[in-house]
Amino acid sequence: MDKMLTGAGVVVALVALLGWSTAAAQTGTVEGTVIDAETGETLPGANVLVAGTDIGAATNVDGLFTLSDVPAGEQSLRASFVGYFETEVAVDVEADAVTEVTIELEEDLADLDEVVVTGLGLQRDRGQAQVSVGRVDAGDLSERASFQDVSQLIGGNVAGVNVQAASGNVGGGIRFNVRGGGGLGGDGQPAIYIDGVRIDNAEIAGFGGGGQGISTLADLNPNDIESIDIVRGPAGAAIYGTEGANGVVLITTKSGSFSAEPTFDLQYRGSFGFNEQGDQTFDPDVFDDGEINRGDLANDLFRRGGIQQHQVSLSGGTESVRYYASIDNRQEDGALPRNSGDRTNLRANFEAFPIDELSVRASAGYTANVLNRPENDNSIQGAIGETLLGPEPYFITDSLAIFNIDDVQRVNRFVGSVRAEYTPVDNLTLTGSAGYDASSRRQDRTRPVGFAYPGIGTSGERNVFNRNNEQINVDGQAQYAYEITQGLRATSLIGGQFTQQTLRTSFGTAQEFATDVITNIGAGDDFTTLNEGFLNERTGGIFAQQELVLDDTYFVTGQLRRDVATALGEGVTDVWYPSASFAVRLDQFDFSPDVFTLLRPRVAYGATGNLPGVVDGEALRFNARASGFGAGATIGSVGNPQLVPERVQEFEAGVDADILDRYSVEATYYYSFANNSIIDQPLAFSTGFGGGTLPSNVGGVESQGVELGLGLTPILQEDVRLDLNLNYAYQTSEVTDTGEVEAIFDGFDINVIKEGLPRSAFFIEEVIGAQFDDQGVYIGPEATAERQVLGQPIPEHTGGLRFNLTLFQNLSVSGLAEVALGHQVYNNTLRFAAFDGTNAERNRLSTQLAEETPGTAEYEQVAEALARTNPLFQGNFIEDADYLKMRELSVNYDFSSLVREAGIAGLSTVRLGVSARNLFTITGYSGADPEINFAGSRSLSRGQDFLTLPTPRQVTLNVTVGF
Amino acid sequence: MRTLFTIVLAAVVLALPACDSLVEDVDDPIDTASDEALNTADQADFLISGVEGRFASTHDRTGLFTSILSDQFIFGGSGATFPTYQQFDAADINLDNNSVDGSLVQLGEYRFLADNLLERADIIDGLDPEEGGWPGGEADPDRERLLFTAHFHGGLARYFWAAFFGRDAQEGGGVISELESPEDPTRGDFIPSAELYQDATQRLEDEALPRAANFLGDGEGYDSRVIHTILARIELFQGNLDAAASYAESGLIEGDAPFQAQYLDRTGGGANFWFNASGPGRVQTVAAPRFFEDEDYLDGDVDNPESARIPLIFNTTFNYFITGEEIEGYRQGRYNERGASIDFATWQENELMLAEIELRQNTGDPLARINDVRASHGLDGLGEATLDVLFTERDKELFTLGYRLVDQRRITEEGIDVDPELHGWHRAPDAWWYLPITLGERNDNPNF
Repeated sequence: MDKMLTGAGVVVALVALLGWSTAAAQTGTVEGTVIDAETGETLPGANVLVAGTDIGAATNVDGLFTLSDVPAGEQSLRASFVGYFETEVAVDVEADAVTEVTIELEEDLADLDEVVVTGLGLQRDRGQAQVSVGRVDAGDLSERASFQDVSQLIGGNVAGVNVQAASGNVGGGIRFNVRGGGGLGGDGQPAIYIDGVRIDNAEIAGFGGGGQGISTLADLNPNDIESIDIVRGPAGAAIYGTEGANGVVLITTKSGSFSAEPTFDLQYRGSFGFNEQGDQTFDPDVFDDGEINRGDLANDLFRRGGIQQHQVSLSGGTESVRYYASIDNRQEDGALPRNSGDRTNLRANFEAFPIDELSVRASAGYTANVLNRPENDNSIQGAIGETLLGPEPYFITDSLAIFNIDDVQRVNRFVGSVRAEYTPVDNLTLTGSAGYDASSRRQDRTRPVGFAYPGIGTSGERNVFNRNNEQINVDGQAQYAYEITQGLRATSLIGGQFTQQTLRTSFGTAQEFATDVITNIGAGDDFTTLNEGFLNERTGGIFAQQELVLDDTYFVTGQLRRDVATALGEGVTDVWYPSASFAVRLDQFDFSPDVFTLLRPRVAYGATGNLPGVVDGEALRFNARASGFGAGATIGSVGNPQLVPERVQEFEAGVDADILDRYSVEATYYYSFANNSIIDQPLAFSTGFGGGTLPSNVGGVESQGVELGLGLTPILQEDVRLDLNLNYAYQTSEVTDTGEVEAIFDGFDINVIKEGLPRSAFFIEEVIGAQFDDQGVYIGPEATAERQVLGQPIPEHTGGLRFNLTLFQNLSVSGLAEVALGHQVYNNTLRFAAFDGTNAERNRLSTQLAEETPGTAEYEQVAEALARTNPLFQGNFIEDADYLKMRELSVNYDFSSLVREAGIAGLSTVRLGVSARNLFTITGYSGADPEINFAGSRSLSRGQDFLTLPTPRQVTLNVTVGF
Repeated sequence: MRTLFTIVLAAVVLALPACDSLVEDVDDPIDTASDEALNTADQADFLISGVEGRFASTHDRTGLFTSILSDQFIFGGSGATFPTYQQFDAADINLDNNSVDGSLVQLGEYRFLADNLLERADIIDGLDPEEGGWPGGEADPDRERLLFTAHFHGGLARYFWAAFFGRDAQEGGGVISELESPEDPTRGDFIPSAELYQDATQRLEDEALPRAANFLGDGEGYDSRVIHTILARIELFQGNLDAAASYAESGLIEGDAPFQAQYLDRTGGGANFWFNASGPGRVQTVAAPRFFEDEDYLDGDVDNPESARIPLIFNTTFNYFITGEEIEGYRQGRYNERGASIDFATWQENELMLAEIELRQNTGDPLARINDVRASHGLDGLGEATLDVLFTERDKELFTLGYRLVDQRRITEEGIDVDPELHGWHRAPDAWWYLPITLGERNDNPNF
């Protein structure tokens, strides 16, 4: 009851803010139309308000509006619409009569009123946004190039959002680094919504020899995406509560368009190309055992893997309905044999206004995805490991055995949502939505009979992994807009959100197959593993938001959210997350130079958090483990009853400016700090729980950074236009607290969470020289007694430069260069090569040392260098990993106008283009790729390169034909 | 309008309590059970099997790694890639050696589960039989078995720490952190081997021995004899010959089955670790050349009559990383099945302990004891018993068990009069002759 009263109190306080107004005595009615000033087209969905009152309405599909009970006399009507300048017109309202008016809105060429999604699907004109929201015009990008997955649309395009592929596998894991990663708890990944559906963003490892998993984002078709909005931190994402700690990615799919005349656009889009690796992906000068050049041998593994993608889409609309439907198939072979993808996507989106006051949108996407994964990231059975390492190539596992491993994941996935928006009375909008993400994923991995595999022998092995995941989210909101006094407008919002995840897994392994012609798991004589898992988790939240706008110049918003969840911690009943933001449009003041069409400083504060796992608050749980003595109770998980949710707070300040309709500048500084961070703390063996980790509120981390965005059109002529978008971000973090724990290491004892150090810093002993005996003979490296910070895996500086050059209206050349600086990678591949005698530099130095005379300067110099290649010291293999990648380059020609002029029957659009991805990389890193991480995209191990397939170069020819 | 908005607002407020209960109304996990759910007498078998399983997974890993660290096994073979194993062979072990981590995970949990049994016994003691208490009260045989298991394996866990692990290269011992709950930050101090041996002895002799019945499964008195053999070994490892002799006199006798760790004949959890380290699954380590080259080991018999107790199977020829010489690699053939059991205590070991004591104290008939052991494998008797002969016999008899490492240490430390080239410590004087307590402990234990 106390909780209820507390919640009620907050809401009552909100009600007090609403400032209910009273109506005047003599009134009339105003009817009118809102139209585009230039074209005369009606504008459905525009808002019209009577200034100084709470009377307002939205235009219907014909652009018509009706305002009732308008006080008689001269009134000012204020009309606004996304993408247009807000306009006020005077109207003389007659008592007990209908006054007609037409309002013309001028298009805002600077796109000030471009919609940005600021939270829970709430749309705000860009000119009114009070937090920094990154936007990717995905529809435009995918017209120019072919993208494998949604992450490729984001990387390099948004300041402060760095997207790392964990490997070059088709469908490989993806890690988002949003502002360096938010709090310390959780997986550091943003919540991802598609058309209002909170989707599964896990990395699925299943059975794997290495650390690589399959990204669930690989199920999405980038060609269906219209736009992506990214709320980067708690200041903007507080309304998402516990899901917003690491930012929120809001994906909107395509939707067709309303039209007075029914439209029907049929389009075919095809892409044809290949994946490939460079000739020197693994540097022959780096990997060489003296007899066989291991780098060349590994490079010979690669092939040119074909890509083809076909999409047919249908879109259009009428006055009250718009729709988009597509079917898409992408088939792709990776650069390494046994790596491929075959994805089919179906999408149907539909939006309608059955009545003026009601809009309904349904969005449904289905995916059938088949992904074949090669064996990598381990030194035993992967082709890269068996060529680069070992006393001789394929020392442990024969190449035929490796390339006969069949590892395939088959996915069936449905992501759908329904959203209804109802305006029962003027200014009040009720919104309800429900989302459902259901996926069924099955992995089959077969090591066939007749090939020798370590630990298995020659009788084969079969692994089967099933994962069924269901996620439901239901959202409801009520929004009421009104005018408190002349010039002071308010919008009140209340709402609630409920989410549920139900996850079931099962898996089995059998060995000792008698034949290779029957491969079902039951045919194995040695049925070695059979198990299952289950997770059921729910969260709920209510929230309230109050926004005030004074004279269209000052914008203030306050929010409060209360969350409950299945797992909050034993002593915690709920969590409250506040946020507040303020912005002022300086360009509205007289002192502002006319060159500014937008000049807006803004500040924002918000709090979010991360929740414990479902059983994290339970001290001890036991599982059943089989042994030769029978199934017995062993440690299942350890937990912490004292646990409370992590809290992440962020302060953000920035300024947005649009200059002369040709330049836009955005600068944001943020400072975030997390406390009570939940860290899975490795426990000492002596506790009895050394195989597990203890979730603990032992962490605190501070992060701060600067994000800059610059958009400009330096050339704007009839036949030449050049658009540039430049983004840059600097981020730094420092762990401020690890409680009583001195340091928390990853499983390889090299990445650390430690007070005073950057998040996941490389912390290990450093070799500082060589040691010699009394005769001057080299006896080994001399290393620091204590661990040192030798780098960190998260880039301090990231940036992207996107350009688009349009020539003669129809020819465009566009590209994206992406840079990351100030980070390191642990080159464990090179370290193992030193163990195995395939590290060319170490071999050369060893030979040279043997030729020199002990005690001489030359000898000591070589010994010093040799000491720094000693594989017993991991610190020797931490390398700077700065890079510049030519991420995209495309050339397109739009024949549409030619086709239309030629009057080719039925054809409306013809575009042809060539695009390339990962064209080249400039880096000093000696490994194959400075971006990858052998441990996948979720592990505490970060920036570690161990026999991981690098990201490939992709080249495609793209054809679009519209009817 | 105002009314409608108020209704919506009120609905949200009223939904609060419903929402709170809704999020808690979820299905429990199916793959784990709460700690409290096991606090009943009918879970005793399940709990005991868990401890025994960890005994097995501790014994195989520890035995393998210490066999490589000793001079019994060398790093090599067709699947030899683990640098961690190479470090064992070189006795130059990094503190981040994650193979040692693997064995310490098992040993740590083994110790905890054994001690946890004792605490749980107290809880069950306080329950009414209808609520899950002992049906037979304090005399309930299941209660006795649970207490025996707790003390027996609690003692063995401490023995493992003492015999095989160390803080520094030549400073043996372990660490035990006794916590109120997993979140308790208390961490134990380093405990030298001598104290751990003492603790193990107390648990075995004072607590397990009085409860000995037939819990270990080979007839009346068997439990007691197993415990006495283990106690004898603990004393012998410390150089306490008289005490060792006293225990060994009551130890396992000819005809007793070996006390073994049991494994599952399947891949993954529960299988014998040797299978994939030096067995049919994968060969990362092979037997030292003396086992197939040295006449003392072959008894001059080209047909290798020792194959009964030292079964070897040719694997591959390779260049040994330490000497560079080409070596014929023979993997062990004792554990050719995943489910092959591993001896922990045998009457043969008990006899050889007595023989050693007699040799060192010039008493008794050590040759007869040695020849009894040999005869049990169908081998001819020897004509002379010396300490060199004795340690050669121990080397062969205790093949793969890891005890050879302790023999090498005590020969060196105690100055036992044998050929140091043959039986002494084979690596640098300051090299690791214990498995190190690795960073996994040190990073979370301020006492290190």
